Amino acid sequence: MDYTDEIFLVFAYITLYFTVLFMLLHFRNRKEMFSAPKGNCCPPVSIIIPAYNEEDNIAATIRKVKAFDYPPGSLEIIVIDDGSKDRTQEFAKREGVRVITKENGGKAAALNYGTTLAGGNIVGVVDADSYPEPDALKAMIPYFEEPGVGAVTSSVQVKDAKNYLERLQEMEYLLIAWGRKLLDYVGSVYVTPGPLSLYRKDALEKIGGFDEKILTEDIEVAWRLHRAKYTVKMALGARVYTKAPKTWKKWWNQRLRWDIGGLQTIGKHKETLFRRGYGIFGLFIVPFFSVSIVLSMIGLGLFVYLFTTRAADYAAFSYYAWKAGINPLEYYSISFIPNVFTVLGILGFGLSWIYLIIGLRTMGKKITPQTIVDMFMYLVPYLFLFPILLVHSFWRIAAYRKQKW
Amino acid sequence: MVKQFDAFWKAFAISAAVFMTGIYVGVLLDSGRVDEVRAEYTGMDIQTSDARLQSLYYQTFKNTSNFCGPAINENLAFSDKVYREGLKIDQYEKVNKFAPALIGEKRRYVLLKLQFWLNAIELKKTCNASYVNVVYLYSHYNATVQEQVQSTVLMDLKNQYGPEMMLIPLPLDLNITTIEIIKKQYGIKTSPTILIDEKIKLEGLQTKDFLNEKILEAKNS
Repeated sequence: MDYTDEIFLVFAYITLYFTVLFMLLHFRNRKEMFSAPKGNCCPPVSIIIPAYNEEDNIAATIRKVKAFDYPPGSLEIIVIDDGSKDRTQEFAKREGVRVITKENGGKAAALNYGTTLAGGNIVGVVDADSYPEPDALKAMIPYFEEPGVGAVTSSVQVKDAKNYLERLQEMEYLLIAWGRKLLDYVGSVYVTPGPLSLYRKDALEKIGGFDEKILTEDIEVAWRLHRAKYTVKMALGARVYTKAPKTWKKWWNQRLRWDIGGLQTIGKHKETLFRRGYGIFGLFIVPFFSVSIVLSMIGLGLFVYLFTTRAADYAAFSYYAWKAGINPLEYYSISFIPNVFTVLGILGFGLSWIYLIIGLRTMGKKITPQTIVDMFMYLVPYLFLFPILLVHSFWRIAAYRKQKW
Repeated sequence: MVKQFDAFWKAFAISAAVFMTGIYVGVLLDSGRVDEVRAEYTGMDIQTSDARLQSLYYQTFKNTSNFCGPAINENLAFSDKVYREGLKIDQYEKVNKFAPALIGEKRRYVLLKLQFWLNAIELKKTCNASYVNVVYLYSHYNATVQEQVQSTVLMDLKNQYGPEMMLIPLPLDLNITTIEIIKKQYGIKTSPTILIDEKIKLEGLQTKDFLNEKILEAKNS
């Protein structure tokens, strides 16, 4: 075995470990995944909608928030217009909610400002291009009955997936929501996404609000809540639909922002990695998040290495074959003899399919022949883009380029 | 809700069991290949001894009338078999990850090939046979692309000439005394090197046309 073989074995084992962990958590909890704890209704909630140039979406979002199945007297809606250059402010005001306009300062700054104005004990965040279901709030609130809960997040799904990219993202979002619920069972929900998340206001104040320097303030705030010994819960039954990028360019930019923000967050909390004193946060959340990035890079590295060495071999063979007067296409042999890597490869690929099918079926997706094709496209070309994105993110960070929100 | 932290070590135990099963299946595949190579070797070892005894028998009794035809055919079939097995060992060596190295088996096969070569020289003299002996000397540990191409060219020529050409590939660096003697005798310092009918020495990558010409020359001489 050479060193690439050893790297592959380590890579295969870690991937297998996480797959088994998720499957185990799924089979233990599959019957009650969508159920919420019982609790008293309905504490005062302030929903903050940060908006920047959202004239196309803001009215519909406000209407959806107003349609929450929640006593109107306990529901406060605050739109923070983050210095929009379009008619966001005008359209928001027409919906009859409180609209505050401030100088543009980014989403985290808008959320921090909104928190200072919020009157509720629970502060909710709803992105201006996201549309929660009417029962979502009631499905999330009971989690706060437990005193240590600092935040509760929801199942983010893609709104009106029409083109193929949106369909792939729809699949991805379903799997992410399911995976996040599974992480909840080990106290490891590591993000409170912007489309719909609730926070205990005093917890937010205690940790100092959202970090305005981090591109993914929704990941970073969850990490600080964990560090402050709060738990973050996932309400899988609370659904919110959000607009996913329709073009590859927009998708790439969004993911670049997520990756850079994720790396910034790791950098900020790196001292907690594998530290027992931080509990599950230091022993699992930070390592899990970091290992995912490392595994992704190793996978890409192995692929690039094997691909380039094979390509170089073939180029050299073709050159000498041509010199020796034979046609290289006729003679280059690719033999297939199964070995341990074939066995582990088939095992890994098979488990990935099972994982996908279980996840999608749990989330209510019907498995049709088209879904099978989509799953293949998701597993092979789509997921392959992620390590490339990471490389781009590292490069961006190294080059100190500012990523726009 | 109670946190299910036991899932971490349970997942570790299950994934370790699944992983070890995968490794075990891999080891079984590797061992199966090693056993296959060893079994083939045993069969061929007997065949070589039989061929050597046949040569000795007919040399002793000087009766070549019923000997040459079958002996040449048998030698040829044996040559093809040894060659195929050699290629198989090369392939298995590349894919085997856990089984012990096949270097021992490889050396045994080289000894068989050497015996076969000497047999082929002897048969040629005894029976006045018309085939051409092509000995291909290459590096086992530091195989180059040129050698890969040369081997392909020689295979092609072997397919073209059939029984008229005996192809004997021998690695130069497996620490076999007889090969060290051959290296000294022919002054071989580089690989690939080709010996045609023990007379012509060609060093470096040779083109198919040039080798074809040399084989025809040797055949007609």
